[in-house]
Order: sequence, then structure tokens, then C-alpha cells
Amino acid sequence: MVSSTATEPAWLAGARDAARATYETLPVPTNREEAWRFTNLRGFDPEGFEPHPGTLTIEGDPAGGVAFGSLARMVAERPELIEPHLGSVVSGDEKFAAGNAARWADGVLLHVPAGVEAGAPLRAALELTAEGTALYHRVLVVLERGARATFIEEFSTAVPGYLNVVVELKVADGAHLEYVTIQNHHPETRQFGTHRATVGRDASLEWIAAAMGGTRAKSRMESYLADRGASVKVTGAYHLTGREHVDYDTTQEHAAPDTTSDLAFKGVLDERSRAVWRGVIRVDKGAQKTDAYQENRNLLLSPDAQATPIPGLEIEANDVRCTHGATVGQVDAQHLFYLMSRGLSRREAQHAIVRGFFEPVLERIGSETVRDSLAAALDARIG
Amino acid sequence: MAKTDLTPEETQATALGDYKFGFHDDVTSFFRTRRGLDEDVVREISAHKQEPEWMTEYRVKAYRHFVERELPRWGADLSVIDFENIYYYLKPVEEQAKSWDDLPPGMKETWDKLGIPEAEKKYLAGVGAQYESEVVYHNLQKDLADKGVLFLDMDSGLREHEDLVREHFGTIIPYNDNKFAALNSAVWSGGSFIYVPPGVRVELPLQAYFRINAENMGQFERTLILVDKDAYVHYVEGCTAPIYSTDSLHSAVVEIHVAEGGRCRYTTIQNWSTNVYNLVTKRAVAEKNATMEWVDGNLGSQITMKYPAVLLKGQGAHGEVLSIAFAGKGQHQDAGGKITHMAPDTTSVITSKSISKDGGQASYRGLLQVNDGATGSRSKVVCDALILDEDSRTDTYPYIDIKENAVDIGHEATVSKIGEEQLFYLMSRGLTEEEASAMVVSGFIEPITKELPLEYAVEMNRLIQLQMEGSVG
Repeated sequence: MVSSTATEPAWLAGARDAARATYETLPVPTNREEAWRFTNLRGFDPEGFEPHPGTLTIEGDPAGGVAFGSLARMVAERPELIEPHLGSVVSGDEKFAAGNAARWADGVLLHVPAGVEAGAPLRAALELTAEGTALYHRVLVVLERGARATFIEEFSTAVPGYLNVVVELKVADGAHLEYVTIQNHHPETRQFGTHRATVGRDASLEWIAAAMGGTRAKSRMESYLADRGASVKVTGAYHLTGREHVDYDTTQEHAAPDTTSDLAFKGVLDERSRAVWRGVIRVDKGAQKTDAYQENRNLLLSPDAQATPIPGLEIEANDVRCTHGATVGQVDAQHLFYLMSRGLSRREAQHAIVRGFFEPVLERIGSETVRDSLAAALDARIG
Repeated sequence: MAKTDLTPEETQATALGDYKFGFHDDVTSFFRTRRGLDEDVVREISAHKQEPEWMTEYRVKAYRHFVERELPRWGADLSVIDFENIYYYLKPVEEQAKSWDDLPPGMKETWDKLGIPEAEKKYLAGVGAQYESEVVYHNLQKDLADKGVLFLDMDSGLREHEDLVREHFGTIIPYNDNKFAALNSAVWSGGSFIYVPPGVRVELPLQAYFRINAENMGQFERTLILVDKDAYVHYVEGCTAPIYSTDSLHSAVVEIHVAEGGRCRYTTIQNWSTNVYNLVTKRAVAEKNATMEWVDGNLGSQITMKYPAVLLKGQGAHGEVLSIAFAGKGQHQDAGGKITHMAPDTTSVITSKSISKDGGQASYRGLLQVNDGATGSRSKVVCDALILDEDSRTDTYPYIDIKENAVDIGHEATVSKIGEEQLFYLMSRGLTEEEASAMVVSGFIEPITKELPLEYAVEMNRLIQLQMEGSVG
């Protein structure tokens, strides 16, 4: 399935073999595991999906020694940029991450040398094109000291399939990364992803994730604030209808003092859709002066929609400020009435309220290009 | 509980600071089952109590489930509990006393030290005092008895009101609810049985006091409270135990049914010694326009896992959980609350305050669920944690599961330390750092203490102050 296996370097072939062995010993998770309690995989057999490459489009040709392109091609051309990092952020001790490490066919490498600014946003678009197939996609982003980059990735499927994604983000001291993923899936597509970032001293990460569908999709999004002064801002938006189901596991781990994290997920749920968000702020021993925040806000448009926010705090330092909030609510009848009294139809009024609900999410985003991309995706979805 | 006159020898210093209830009495028990548990022990307990056949069979069924059921895989580590090293039934005296003076001298002394007889005189409508497995003293004010209020130990309840007990026992917390509910259902003994007739308001609290005296003791009291239409009762429980080097187990089941328009408040001030594993299941059903309030204070024990629950079953029902946890050295307080909105226009509030110090771990674990059809439900959950030093830990896990859109649900939590400005201000007014810290902590838990009857609020503040001693250096 991986055409280049025969020509792959030994280190990569060895890593794949080890991951394959782990993958084969791990069962498909069941509801009995806490992390999968609300996402039922009964009847899902990852082996029932034939791997197929899909279409990967990579746009942007940055200068300044920035390496940006197909991960498979880069393994051949620039192995020295990949070998030290691949698998160093996301470990393959979980079923789907192990499957990805064993089977990834292609993906994206973004490597920005120390002190370099990559300039205009870099983009990649991945589409699963053949019905009933599997696509194993791997992303490695390495920003060396003081580097800066913006990277926007879009995942889409027009037909049902299975997408397995692993994203590793390494943001070295003083670097700044803006990373955006927008999912737009066929309602029967399954996507399982592990995304993890390590953020160094005085470095910052702005991370935006938007989900516009996909059934039984589960994303782990972990930020590891490794050194003093690191900061992370994570923004999530989802808009689901039908029987779509999205499950997020977010972690903000503060491993060093004077670190800041701020996470906000907002979602609108219509018809029979369901969103699960489990967020943990973890403050390790000695990570004094941590400032951490997390929130999850849900707007339910239908009596059959379901929201399950599970915020969590695990704090082992005493000089900290950690706060979280979670809400579930409905469209305010008064707002609706007001808008309708101004001549809007019920549908238009509801649209305006939903759009307004997402406004604070958009306002969190610093870069105008990114904000516009997300706003366009939301508008297309809300209809 | 309000007054304790102890000699210095009786006041043993413990990890908590001064734990004043750590003494034990040399009371020879009247009867006890052998160490450990099997089906024969379960049958022996039932036979000794001369129970009806259905209860014996219920116990056996529960025991079999207990054996099969796994320990919970979340929360505190319970794998250290040695179920074979525990005495499951220990009857201290042959007969329940109607007067404190009828108790054996050593035992009476215990109750005097705990201040129970005195409290009864001053501000309680009724008292039940459980020592090991049995309620050794029980009394209810006559005017309440005349109004039809029942306040008995559970064993007497079963004997004297079998039909009522049979109708409700195990209906709110079935024996297969969890491993410890199964254990309690198999070996239960003592606890309270309360019935408040329609429209009757019990203005003064009823109190039950639970005392473990023996080593390696398992106390499994069982409480059933039935509050009829438009009735009101406030039930208060306190608990202490001596300090031993080996562990004891306390595993209670409390079931409460509040009928239409009724109100029940259940207050716990748990102050077990730090060798007690406290694993308790408490759940109430609130019918139409009924109110159920849990005030749950956890100060003692080595490990507590307890999440008082309210099922809001009738339209307009209201549920509240006020939880306070104090985790000192070697303690893990895994406390919280659960509310399930099952009917329209139901409302709930959960307020949790936890404090951890000297390496203690305090966890809030909660569930807020809104079922299909519970339109117009409103709920607010607020959890605040205070960590007093860098060796301590606090966790917050508030599960929220909403299956209905016409709702308004909010949750907030914060974790912080004692503000330096607050300390500085109080110290500038002449307080020592220790006094200032204790005052800040008392202020922090005030939303809970202000809900307690005055005597208990005073006691709670005193306990907090004791536990704060030596906290700053």
C-alpha cells in the first residue's frame, strides 16, 4: 500500500514495523474505555477499509530555506529534517496513532529554520476520493528557534470513508506557529486523529480547529507547554447536523512555570447530532504561575441534539489561576422574536443568531486570512 | 458533637492536626461474625436479626453480585482494601437503650465525649446513635411521634413497618448499582428509617451519629427516608472513629424519596479518622415540586468516594448539592454530586468547595444530566478549589450530558491559592499568618457553613481551624 516502502530508509521501515506490532496487539477501543465512553465504534473495522491515496494538494512555495511539501517526497529528499522529529511528539501507544505510524502513505512536512518567517499562509488540502477507502495522513511541523509560520489544512470527503490523521507540531523557543485545520466531511465519514504540540520557552502556538461534519469523528488535541513563557491559544468550532457525532479530547499540559493556555470550543448542534468535548487542564508539580482557561459553549437547535461537555482540572501546583466554564443553551426566544419583528424570516433570524454565536470564536483569531478562511467555511456550512 | 471535653491524653495528634475523636473504648461486643465474608456470614447476619425470608434472599443476591462486580476503575485506588480482614457485623450490646444511662459505662462515655446527649437536649428533635453495627440508642420527641413521624433504626423499621420498607428498600439504589452498594445490601445493619406524614414539618433536625470503635471494623448502615406530600425534615449525620494503624471500611447506602411538594435536607459532617475508607452511595428522588438538598462535608477519612445524587423526577422539582472537602496529609477526598433532570421545569444547583493541603488530594467529580423531555431545565454548577501548598493536588471532573435543547446549563470552576493581598491585609490588622489563613479558608467555605444549623457551622469552622493549624511556616 505504501509504494515507496521498498525504497524507504531503514529507520522509517523499522519505525513502521514497531508501530505495526503495537497496532496489531491493540484492540479497537470500546465504550468501556473512559476516553471512548461516548463514541461507540461497534461495527467499525478499520481493516475493512482498503487504503487509497486520495488527493493531496499543497500550495505555497516559501523562500528562506523553508521546507514545505509532501512528507513522502521529503523523506527521500530531506530525511535529515524528518528522522529526528517524526514520532517524537505523538507516541504510537494508542490504536489509531499506531495504525497511522505503521501505514501513513503521505502527508505534509513544514520545516522552518531558525529565525525565518515563512510569510504568507501555507496551505494543504486533503480529499478522500474513493468511497469506502482509508486514508492515513501524517503531518510534521517543526519551527526552529524564533521561526514563524501559518499553516492551514483542509480535510474533506465527498464520499464515506475512513481518515486517520496524526499531526506533530514542534514549536521551539521563541517561535510562533499558527495552525488551522478545517474538516468538512461526508456525514458517514469516520475520522480519528491525534494532534499534539510541544511549545518551548517564550514560544507561542495559535491553534484553530473547525469541524463541519463527519460521523463518529474523534480528535485528540494536546498542547504541551514545555518551558517557561510558553503560551497556547486553542480555538474550536463545530457545526453538526443529521446524525453527525464529533468527540474531542483536548489537553493543556503545563509542565513549566509562567505558562499560559487559553482554550475555547463553541459548537452548534442541529437535528440528531452530538458533540462530546472532554478537556483537561493539567498543571504539573512546580509549574507555578500557570494561567489556564478552558471553555465549551454549545447551542442546541433541536430537542434531539446532544451536548456532553466534560471539563477537567488536574492541578499539582498551588500558585496558579485555572478556570473553566461550560454551557449548553438554546436559541433565545426573545432574540428570535426581536429579529423577526425587524422583518427577518424565522430561518433568517436563526441563521443570524447562529452566526452571532460563532462571532467570538472568529474574534479570537489574530490573522485576518485565517479568520476569513474560517468565516467562509462557517458561512458555507450554516447555509 | 458541639461540645467535647477531652483530657490531653485523649487528644491525639494526627495528620489532620488535632483529631479529637481518635480515642477508643474497651467495650466487649455482645456478638460478632467471624473475620471476612462469605455467603454463610451473610446468612448468619440475617438469621441473627431474625429477618423475613425476602430480606435474607435479597442479601444473598447482593452478596453474589458484590463478588462478581469489579472495583471502580476511576477515582481513588481501592485495591488496597483487604475484604477478608474485616469484621462485617459486630453487635455491641444486646438491647437498644431508651436512656443514655442504660448504656455500658465505656460506651456512654464515648457519647458524652462526642457531646451527643447534650446536643439532644438543646437542639435536636430526635437522635439515633450507632456504635459498630447496631443503633444502641434511639429517641424521638413525643409530639413528633404523636403526629405519626417515624424515626427508627433501620432494623426496627424492617421489623415494625415491613410493608413500607419492602415497598421502597433498594428501589432508588438497587443492589447492583455499584460494588459497594452491593456490599451494603448484603451486610447492612443499622442506619435510620424515617417517615414523615403528609404536611408534617419536623422543625428541629433529626440526628444520627455513627461511631466505629473496633479495629478492622466494617460499618454498613442503611438509611431510608420517606418524606410524604408537603412534609419537611432535616436529617443530620456525624461520624468519627478511633485511630488505628489498620484500616476500617464504612460503606453506607442512603435512599430518600421526597413526595410532591415535600422537602428534605440531609446534612453530613464526615470526620472519620484517617484510617477509614469511606465509600458511600446516596441518592434521592424528588417528585413534583419537591426539593432535595444534600449538604455534604467531608473532612476526615483516608479515602472518601461519595457523590450524593438527586433524580428530579417530577415537574418543577429542585435539587441542590453543597459539597465541601478538606484533604490533608495522606487523604484523598473524591467527592461531588450528581443531578439528573428527568422532568420539565426542574432546577438544580451544585456548589463545591475543596481545600487541599500537606499533600492531600481533593477531587470534585460530578454529573449533570438533562434527559429528553426535561424542557425548561436550569442548572448551575460552581466548583472552587483552594490549594494551600505545592505538595497538594486538586482535580475537577464535572461531567455534563444534555439531551434536550430547551435548557439553560452552566458550569464554572476555579482553582487558586490564598491571595497574598488578603493575607497581607488581615496580618496588617494584627492576625498571625496562621489565623489569617484560617480566616480566608472559613470565608472560602462560607457558602456551605451558612447553610448549616448554627451549632454545626460553629463546629465546622472549629474543625477547619484545627486542620489549618501548622499550615504555614
